[in-house]
Amino acid sequence: MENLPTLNLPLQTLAALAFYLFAIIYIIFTTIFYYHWQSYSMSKSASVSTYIAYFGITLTLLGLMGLAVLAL
Amino acid sequence: MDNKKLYEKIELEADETVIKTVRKHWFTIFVELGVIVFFGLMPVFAFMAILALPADSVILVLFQAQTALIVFGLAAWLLMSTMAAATSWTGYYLDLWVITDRRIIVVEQIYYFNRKVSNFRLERLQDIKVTIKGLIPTLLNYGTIRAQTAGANENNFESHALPDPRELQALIQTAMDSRLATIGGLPDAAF
Repeated sequence: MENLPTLNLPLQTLAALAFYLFAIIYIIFTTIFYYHWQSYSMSKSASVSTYIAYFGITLTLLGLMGLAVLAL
Repeated sequence: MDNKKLYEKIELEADETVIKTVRKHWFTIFVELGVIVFFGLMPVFAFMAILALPADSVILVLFQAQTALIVFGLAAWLLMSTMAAATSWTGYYLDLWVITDRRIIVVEQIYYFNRKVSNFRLERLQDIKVTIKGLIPTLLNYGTIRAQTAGANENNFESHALPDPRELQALIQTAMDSRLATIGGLPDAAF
């Protein structure tokens, strides 16, 4: 057990990696979400309201996560 | 409902008129979003409770030392909750019944990557059954509509949590009678 290699990463690096992972998941999810609403929604006003709410909340949270990583 | 956009998405026949479009009852999405919001905000309330602890509390001192990390975790949790809410909303909003003077178009959207669009011609409908089961559905007037169509293959369809199902049943029945009168009274006359 003593000879096993250990990986020591600073907290900031780990947080930055987690942030990139979240960003990738977010981009994939958002593409699928946007595609569905663009393809299948039958009301333009409902689509626009949904986009405003979704991007308004998620981009704010993503920005907050980025700032938190920088502050670490 | 934006009728122009509806016609673009569902190819209606010449002179076909949309009588009504129906989504599931608002209570279904209210419950789904309510659960997501509850779990989404739970850590926020937990952190607020910790902040209310006495200033010399060990937990509070630890939290204050790692504010950025806590903000990161909280924002990540809320982001995931928002994505879950967006998925629920998409499933609710893109799930639709379109009743026209000729057919019923049932669009089933089960979250992502699972979409089914079925057409049921009114003249082939045989039986429409409405079920309102339970206290909340009775109070809020929503339930299940199950319809049976004539055909060689098993061709039944049902939808849950539709608002005012009895009115919907009456509407479909009326549209069905009008359709049968238009095509000459016999279901097979159209084929």
